[in-house]
Amino acid sequence: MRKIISFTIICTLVFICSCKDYLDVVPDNIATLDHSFNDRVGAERFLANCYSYLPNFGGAGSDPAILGSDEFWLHENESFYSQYYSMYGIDLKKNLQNVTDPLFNYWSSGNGGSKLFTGLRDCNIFLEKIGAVGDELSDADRTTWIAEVKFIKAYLHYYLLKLYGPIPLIKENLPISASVEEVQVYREPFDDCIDYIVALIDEAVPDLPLIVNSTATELGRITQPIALAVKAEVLVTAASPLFNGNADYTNVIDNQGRKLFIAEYDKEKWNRAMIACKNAIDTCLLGGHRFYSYRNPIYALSDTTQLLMTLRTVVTDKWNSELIWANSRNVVNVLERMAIPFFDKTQLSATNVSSNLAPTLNMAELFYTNNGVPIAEDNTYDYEGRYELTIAQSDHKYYISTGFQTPKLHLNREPRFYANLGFDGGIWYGNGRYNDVGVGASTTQPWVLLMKKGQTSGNTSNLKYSITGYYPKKLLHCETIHNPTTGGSPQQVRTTFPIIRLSDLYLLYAEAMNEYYEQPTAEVWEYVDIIRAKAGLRGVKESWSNHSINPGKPETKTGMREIIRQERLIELVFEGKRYWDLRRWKLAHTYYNQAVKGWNTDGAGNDFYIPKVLWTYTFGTKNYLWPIAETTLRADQNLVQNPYW
Amino acid sequence: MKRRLRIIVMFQLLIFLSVVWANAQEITISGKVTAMDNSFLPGVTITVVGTTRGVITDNDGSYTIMAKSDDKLVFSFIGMDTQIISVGNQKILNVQMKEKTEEMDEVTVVAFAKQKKESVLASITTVDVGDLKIPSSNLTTALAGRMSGLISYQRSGEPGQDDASFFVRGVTSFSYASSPLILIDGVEMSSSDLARLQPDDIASFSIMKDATATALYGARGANGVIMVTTREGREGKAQISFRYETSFSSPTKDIDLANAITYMKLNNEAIVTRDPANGVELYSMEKIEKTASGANPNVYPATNWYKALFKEVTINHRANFNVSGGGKVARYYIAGTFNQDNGALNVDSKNNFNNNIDLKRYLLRSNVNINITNTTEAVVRLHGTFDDYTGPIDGGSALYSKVMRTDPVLFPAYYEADEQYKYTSHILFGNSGTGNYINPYADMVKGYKEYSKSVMLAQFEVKQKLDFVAKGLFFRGLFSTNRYSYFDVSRYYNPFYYSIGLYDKYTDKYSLACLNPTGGTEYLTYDPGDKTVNTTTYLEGTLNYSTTIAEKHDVSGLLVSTMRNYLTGNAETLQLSLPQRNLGISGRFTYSYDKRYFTEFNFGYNGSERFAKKERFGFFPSAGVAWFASNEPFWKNNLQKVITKLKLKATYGLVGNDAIGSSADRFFYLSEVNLNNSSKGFTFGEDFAYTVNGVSISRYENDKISWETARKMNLGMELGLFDDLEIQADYYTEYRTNILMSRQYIPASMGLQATPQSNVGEASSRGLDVSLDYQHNFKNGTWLAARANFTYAKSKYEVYEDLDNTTTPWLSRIGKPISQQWGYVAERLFVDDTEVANSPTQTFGDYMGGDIKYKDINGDDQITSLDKVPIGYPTEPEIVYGFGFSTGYKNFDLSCFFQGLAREAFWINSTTTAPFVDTDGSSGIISKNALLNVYADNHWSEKNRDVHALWPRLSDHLIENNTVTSTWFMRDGSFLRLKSLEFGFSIPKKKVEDIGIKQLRIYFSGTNLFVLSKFKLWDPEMAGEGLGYPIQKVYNVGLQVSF
Repeated sequence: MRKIISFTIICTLVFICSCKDYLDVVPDNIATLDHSFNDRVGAERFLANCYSYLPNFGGAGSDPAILGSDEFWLHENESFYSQYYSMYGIDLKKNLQNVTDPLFNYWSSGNGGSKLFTGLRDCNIFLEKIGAVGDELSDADRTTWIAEVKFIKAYLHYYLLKLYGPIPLIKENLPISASVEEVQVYREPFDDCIDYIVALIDEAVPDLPLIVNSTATELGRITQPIALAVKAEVLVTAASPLFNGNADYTNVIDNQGRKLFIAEYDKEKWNRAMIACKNAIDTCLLGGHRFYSYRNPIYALSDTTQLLMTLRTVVTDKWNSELIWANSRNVVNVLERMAIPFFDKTQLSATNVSSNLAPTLNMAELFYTNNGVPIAEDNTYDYEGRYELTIAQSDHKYYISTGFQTPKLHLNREPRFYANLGFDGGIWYGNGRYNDVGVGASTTQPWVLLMKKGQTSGNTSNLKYSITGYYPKKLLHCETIHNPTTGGSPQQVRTTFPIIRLSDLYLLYAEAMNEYYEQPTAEVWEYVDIIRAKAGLRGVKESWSNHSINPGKPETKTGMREIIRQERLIELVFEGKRYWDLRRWKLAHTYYNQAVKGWNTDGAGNDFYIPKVLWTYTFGTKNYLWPIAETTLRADQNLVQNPYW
Repeated sequence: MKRRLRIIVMFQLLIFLSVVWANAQEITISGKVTAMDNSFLPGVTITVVGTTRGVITDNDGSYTIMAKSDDKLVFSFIGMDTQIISVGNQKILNVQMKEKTEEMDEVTVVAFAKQKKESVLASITTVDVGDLKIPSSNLTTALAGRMSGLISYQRSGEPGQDDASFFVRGVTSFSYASSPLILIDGVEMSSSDLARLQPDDIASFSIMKDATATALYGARGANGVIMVTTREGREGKAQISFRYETSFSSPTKDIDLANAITYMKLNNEAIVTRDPANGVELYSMEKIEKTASGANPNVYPATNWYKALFKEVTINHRANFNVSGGGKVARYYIAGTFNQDNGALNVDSKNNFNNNIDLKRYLLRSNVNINITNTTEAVVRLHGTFDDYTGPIDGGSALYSKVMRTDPVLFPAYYEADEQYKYTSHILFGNSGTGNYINPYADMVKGYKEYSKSVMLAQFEVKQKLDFVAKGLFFRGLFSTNRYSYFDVSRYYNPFYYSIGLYDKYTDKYSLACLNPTGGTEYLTYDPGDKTVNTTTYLEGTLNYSTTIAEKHDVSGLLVSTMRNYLTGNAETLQLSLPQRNLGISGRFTYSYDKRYFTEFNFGYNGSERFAKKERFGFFPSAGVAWFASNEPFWKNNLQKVITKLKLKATYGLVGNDAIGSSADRFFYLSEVNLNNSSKGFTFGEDFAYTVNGVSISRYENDKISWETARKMNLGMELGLFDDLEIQADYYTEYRTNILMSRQYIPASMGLQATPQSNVGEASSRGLDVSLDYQHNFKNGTWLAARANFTYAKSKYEVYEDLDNTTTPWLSRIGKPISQQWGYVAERLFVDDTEVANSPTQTFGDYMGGDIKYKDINGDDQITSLDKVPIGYPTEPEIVYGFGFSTGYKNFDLSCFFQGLAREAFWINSTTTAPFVDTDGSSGIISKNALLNVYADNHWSEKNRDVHALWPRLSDHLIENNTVTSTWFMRDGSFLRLKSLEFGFSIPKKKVEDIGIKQLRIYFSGTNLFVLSKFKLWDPEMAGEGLGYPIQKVYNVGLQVSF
C-alpha cells in the first residue's frame, strides 16, 4: 500500500512541476490602454479618438436637425428609404419619438445617436494620462492638445444639454469597479451645467491657437474662434426662452429635492450672451474670418449670378473664410445624393442617388420679397394671389426661364430664394453647365428644372423625385455632377458642413442685444443689415418703412425680435440651425403645427400648381426636450425623466 | 496481511501436488466439442495442464486424448472462452464452448475507466447502439427521446446543416456554453464530429449526468458529458458485416402559399387599407384577370417558386462496411463508410454543373489492439472523416427563405427566348427594376460552391499492468491528436436579368429587355471562400488500482492527469491566436462492502488558461453512496421473485465550467484594446488628407473572473421487476453559481465602451429522468422489447443582476426559466381607428384598426417595454420523451419509436412572414414576401373585422406594432411524432449459410412519418425557423449482410 501511495505522490508531483507553466500562454507586451500614452503617435491617436466623438453635424442619419427639421418633407416609401439613409429623422417628424427606444438616442446611443458619454470618458482618460507621454511631445503641443480635449469635453456636454436640458456632469471618470450606488449619477441643475461648460471653454481658450499652424494637416482642429463662438452659442441658448424662465419645467425635481430648472426669467443671461457674442466676433475677425464671396476663375458671370452663387456656395465651399467651425467628415456626401435633381433625361439611370430631399412650400414662403420684407407684409406683393400662375418675364432671366408659366410666389423674391431653392422652371447654374444665362451654346447654359409629373426632375417611375416640387440647391456643391456614363454614383466634390459661420454669430449678437436692451439700438440694426446687405437687400429700417404694411416694426423690441428671427431662419436655412432655433425660442409648437405643404407633384401640366397638404404635425410641449430611455432610468434611479414623457 | 495470504497459497499448493502424485494412471478420453448453437467445432486445441501434450478436434469436433484421472484438460479456441476441466473418472468428455462475452454487458463506461455495472452509483444512461441506427447520416438526429436525461430537438433538414441541438438535463446556465462535453474515445470533440459518427462503429454511447459521473471532468463537466467509445476488435475469426441503404427523402410538411390571384388582390387590399386617401392599387384588374385566365405566362407570370426550385423527393445512399477479428496478440476493427446526401434542389439543364446539394462523406476507422507483452497492451486508433460537398452558393436554407421573399407575379424564373434573344446561350432570368430584385431561381442555378472538410484523428494508448508493483495496479497512457481542415470555393456567373420590354396585347407579342447588359456575365467567376484549420492535442495518464480484501471489501482508486492544447489558424486577434489549454488532475476512490453498500469519492482539480493566475485552478469534489437492497440476505426469498433488483443511490458534488463568456473573450484578466482603430479616428486638413486613427477598448480587465460552478445532487433508483422490466429513475437538482454575466446596472453615463462582466449570476434546475425497459421472450419464439424514456428538466434564474424592477416586478427574471421569453400580452385586434384613439398609446410605430392591441400592464396608459411580461413556455422544451417497441417472430422483426416534446413555446416569425414586405435587410436588393395561404384565408379586413383573425390588417410595409414579441404569434411547440418505423426480414440461415453468409437481412424503415401537433403551418420541431430547409421525412430500404 505504502508503495502505491508513494508512487502516485511522486507521479503527481512530477506532473505538477513539469506543467506549472503550461497554462501561461500569454506573452508579454500584449497591447493595453497605457501603451497609447507611451509616445507621441499613440497620444495623437487618442486625441483623434476624442475628436471622433463630436456629433456628426449634417449627417442625414445622425443629426436630428437635418431630416428631423420641418424644412424638408420626403415622399414615403420605406423600401426606397432604406437603400439610401436611415429614417430616424422622418420618424422624429412623425412624432414617433418614444421612451422605449428613443430616436437619436444620444444618451445611451442608438437610432442615429452616438455615444457622447463614452466620448466624455475618453476625454477624461486623455486628460488623466497625457502627462505620461515623454519629452517627445513638446510642452506647447501638450498644452494645446489638453485645451482641445477640454473644449471637446465641453462641447459634448453642451450637445447633451441641447437635447436633454439638465445632464450629469462627467467631470472625472468613475472607476470601472465603482459600486451600484456610485454609478447612479444625478442630473445637475441647468444653470450649473451651463456654468461648467463655460468654465471649461474659458479654461481652454488661452491655450488654443488663433489660427491653425498647418492648414494641410490641422484644419478641423479646435481654434480660439471656434471655442469662443461655441461659448456664445451656449450662452445664447441658456438665455433663450426655452431655458430662461420656462414655466413648463418648474416641477422637474430630482429625488434629492433639487429643482433642475430655475423658474424665474433672468435678463442678465442675455447680457452675458451678448458680451460672449461680441468677444467671439472680434476674435473671429482677428483670426481672419471674413464674409464669403464666390469666385469663379474661369467663367465670367453676371452680377446677379455671382450674387446667387455667393449666397449658395457659402455652405458647400470647403473651409471658406466665413466658416468658423466646419465638420470635416464626409457627411455632405449623403446629403448631396439626396439633394441632386435629375437635370437631363440621360441621367435617369444614375445610381446611388435618392434625389428626394424636398424643402416644403412653407420654406418657399419664408423668404422675403425683393424688397426685403416678408411676403405677407409687402405692400406691393399680391400675397393672396401668390399661387396664381403668370408668365416669367426676361427681367427674371437669371432666376427663371423666360416665358415660363409660374406661380407669382416664384417672382419678385429676394436673391436668397433663387440661390437656395430649385423649383419648376427655375434656373440652376453649375453642376456640369458653367456658362451664364445667355452665354454660349444652349447646351452649356444653366439647367432649367422641369418638375411636373413625368418630367425629368419630376415624379417619374423611379421614386427619385421631390415630393414638394423644390430642391435644396444650397446643399449641392455646384461642381458635383451625375456620372455621365450610364449608371454609377455621382462625381462629388468633397465639402465641409458648417457648424458655426460668421453670419450665424452676427445674428446671435443682434438677437442678444435686442433682448437685453429695452429698445433696439443702432447696433442691433447694424448687425442685421450687414447680413442683409450681403444678400443684396437694403437695411431693415429702410425696407420696412418703404415697403411694409407695418413700417414701424424695426423700432420696437418685439418687432425687431421677429425680424431677427426671420432673418436667421432665411440666412441659415437648410444648415441644421432652424431645428434648434425654433426650440430655444419655444416656437416649435406654433411653427410645427402648421400644415406641411408642397405642390401637387402627382400633377402633370398646370395641375402641378395646386398646393397640397402633405402632413400635419403634432408637436407638444414634451417634444422640446428628448426623452431619456426607460432602460436608462431603470439603470440609474437617480435620474428624473424629462417632463411629460 | 499479504504475507499471510502468500503462506496460505503455498500451503495449498503443497497439498495439491501430493494428491497429483497419488493418481498416476493414464486413460483414453474422447468426446465432442460443440459451439453454443450445437454445431461441431473443428480445430479446438486440447492440452493437458503441465505437459506439452495436445490434440486438435476433427472436422466433426471429435477428439481423443490420453490423460490421468487427476489431470486437467484445457480446451481453447480462438474467439471462445478457454475452459479447464478436471478429468476425474469420465471417459467421454463433451464440451460446449462459449463465445467470449463482450465485457460491455457487465461493465459501464465511467469517467476515465470502466466500472462493474452493479457498483456504479453515478447517474449514467447508456443507449442501445442499435437504437441509433436510423436512416440518416446524422447521428444527432437519432438522439431525441432515446435516452432519459437528454433534451434534444432538430430545427433544420438541410444536409450538412441538420445537427440537432442537445442538452444534458436541459440548460442551467445563461452564460455562453450550455452544450455538453462530448468525448469520443476519451477525447473532447465537437458536436459535428458526433453527428458524423457511424452507429455501426459505436461500442457504447452514454451520457453522464450527475456530479459523481462528471466531477472528474471538472473543467467542462458542468453541462453533462456525452461519452462514446468506438468498437475494438475481438479475438476470433474475421467478422464482416455490410450494410447498405437507399432512402427517399421529402419534406415532412410543405409550406402552403396563396396563389397568384389571391396574392395580387390582397396586395391591392394591403395598400389601400393602410392609406385609403392616397393608396393606389398596384395591380390592375386587367393584370389580375389575364393572370387568372392563364394568358401569356411570360407577360403575366404566376410563378410557384417552391416548384421552380425544389424537387419533391430526393434519393440518398449510405453504405457501411466493417471487419473485426484478431488473435491472441493483435485484434482489429476496421470500418469504412460512404454516405451520399442529396438536396432537394432543381438543376437547370442549360448549366453543365450541378448546383444541387450533394454531400458525400467518407469515413475510415481502424482500431488495432496489440498485446506487446503479457502485461502490456497498445491500442492505435486512426480515424478520418472526409466531407466533399457541392451545393448552391447560398446554401439550402437561404434558398428556402428567399423563395418566401419573392414576388410570384412580378417575373417568371426565366423567360423563354423571344425572336431577339433566340441565339442567346445564357438563361434569360426574370427580374425587374435594375435587376435588383431577388430571383431565387437565378441565385440557385448561377453557380455552385464546393467545400471539403477533413477531420483526422490519431490516438495511441498504452495499458500496462503493474502487478509487479502491486496486484491490481494498472497504468494507462493516451496520446491523441486531432487535425481539422476546411476550405470552400465558389464558382458562379452573374446572371443576366430580363424583363418584358414591350408587349402588344392585341397580337400577344412581347419583346424582352435586358436589365443588366453590363452587369451579367456568361463566364464563371471565382470566390476563394473560407479556409479553416485547427489542431487539438491531448495527453492523458491514468493510474488504476483495485483489490478485494477479505472477499467482501472492494477498494479501488484512480488518478488521472490530463493536458489539452488547442490551436487555431484562423484567429482574428493576437489574443485569440494563443493556444487554448486545460490541465487537470482527477481522482476517484471507491469502497464497497459485500456488494451491498457502496461509497465513492471523486475530485477534479482543473486549470484553464483563461483566468488570472490566482483564479486559474478550480477544485471540484463529489461523493456518493448506494445501497444494493436486493443483494441483502433477507431479500433472497419471495421478494426476489417480484423485485429482482433494487438499488438506491445518492450523489452530491461540484462540477466546473470554464467555457464562459463568448469564445472571443479569451483572457478576462487582460484588457483588449485596438490602439490603431481606423473606424474611430478623425480626418483633418484642407484636403482631408491627414487622417489619424483612434483607440478602442473592447474589454476592460478583470482578474476576478473565474470558474462557473455547478452543485449537483442526484437521487436514483434502479428497479428490476420479474426479470422482464427494468426501471431507472433519477431525481436531480442543480444549483449553478458564478455564472458570467454582463453587469446590467452600469448606466450609459459611465461611458464604457464595453460592458464589464462578472461572475454574479446564479441559476438552478431540477428534474426527473425515467427510463423503462421491458424484455420478454415468449415460448413460441416471439420476442418483445419495449422501451420508454421521459426527461423533465426545469430551470430557473436565481440571481440575475437586472435593472430596477421594484415597480415592474413582472420584468424580473428571478424564478423564471432560462429560455423564458418576455413579450406583450395581445388582447385581440383593434376593431377600428376609434378604438385605437381611445386605447393606451402603443409605442412601436404606426398602427390602426385591425392591428394588434396590447394590454397595458402597468396602467400608465401607454404600451412600452415596461409592459412586457413572461409569456408562454420556455423556448427550450422542458419535457422530452420517447417510447417504442421492437418485436420479432421467426425471421421477421418490427420496431417503431415515437418521440415527442412538450412544454415548449415558439413564435411564428411575424417579420419574415409579413406578406408584401421587404424584409431582406440587405441594401440594394429588393425583396417582397410571399403570402402564406393561412394568412390569406384568415386576416382582418375592413369587410371582415374579425378581431381574432390570425393575421392583422394587411400592409405593404412592415408594421412594427405587429412584429414585437407578443402572445399573438406564440404557439405551443409540443408534438408527438412517429420518429422511426422499421420492418425487417432475415433470410433463413439455412438458405444463405452455404455461400458463407451468417446473416442476411432486408429492411424497410421510415423516419418522421407523421407528427401530431396543434400547429399546422410547418413541422413544429422547426419552431420559429419554419421557412428554412424543412425537416425530412425519409423512406428507406436497407440490406444488412454479415459473414
